[in-house]
Amino acid sequence: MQMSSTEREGFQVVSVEESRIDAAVAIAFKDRMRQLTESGPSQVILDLSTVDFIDSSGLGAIVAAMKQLGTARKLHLAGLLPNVAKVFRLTRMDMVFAIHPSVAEATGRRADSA
Amino acid sequence: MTLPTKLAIRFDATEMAVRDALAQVLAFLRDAGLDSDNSGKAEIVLAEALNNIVEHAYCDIAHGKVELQCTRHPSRLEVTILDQGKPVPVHVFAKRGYPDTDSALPDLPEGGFGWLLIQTLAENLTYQRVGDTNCLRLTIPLLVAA
Repeated sequence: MQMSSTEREGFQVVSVEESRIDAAVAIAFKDRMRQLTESGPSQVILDLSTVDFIDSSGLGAIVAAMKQLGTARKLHLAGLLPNVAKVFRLTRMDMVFAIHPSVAEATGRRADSA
Repeated sequence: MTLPTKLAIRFDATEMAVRDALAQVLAFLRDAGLDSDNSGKAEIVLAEALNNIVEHAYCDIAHGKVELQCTRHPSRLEVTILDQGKPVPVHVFAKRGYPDTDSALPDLPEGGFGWLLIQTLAENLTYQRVGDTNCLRLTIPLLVAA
């Protein structure tokens, strides 16, 4: 699973570099998230702006990734494309995540001044 | 030019073959004139139905096959999915509720979303076991601009 991690303005930003988080890669995604977030800032942003599809397995893996971080750290989601946002909304899991339009907005910077 | 209205494909019951099948369905729906909202909805429903077959019906059966038929009508997509895996227990089709989003972090659900998505987005769900074959039929309503 192609994913990368950088630090930006005190946040850890994890970028998914694939177009799908589905049943075929859900376990790989969860494992990669665990590796990338083993240590680091308490605020983690998962950049989903290249992901155009998630299924229920992918959604479960993102919830699992949030649980792996524990209560002392927080997982934010950024850059959800319409069909990905739909899966969160229809399952009401949009209520349990902090969801931001973009990474820039998640870090508190306005997109237009970035 | 006549737009395609029917697609029938047969593929291996594996997660990677489901990915390829969904790509074929999306190409078919695009050629059939569906916008991304409608085809996205269809992709979610089909992904869940097909992955259930891979993970449950064929969970300990190698070399299973799945057959998918889609017919595009003006305001709906009719879908039939056939497989020769294990019969689906009746309780699977019970109406699903929403997950408990007020749970403490360690108790948040990591599953149970698949049938909820199918039941929310699809209509006229019927399941029949005919001989050694599971036959799932459903309709996906299409929002067509007036």
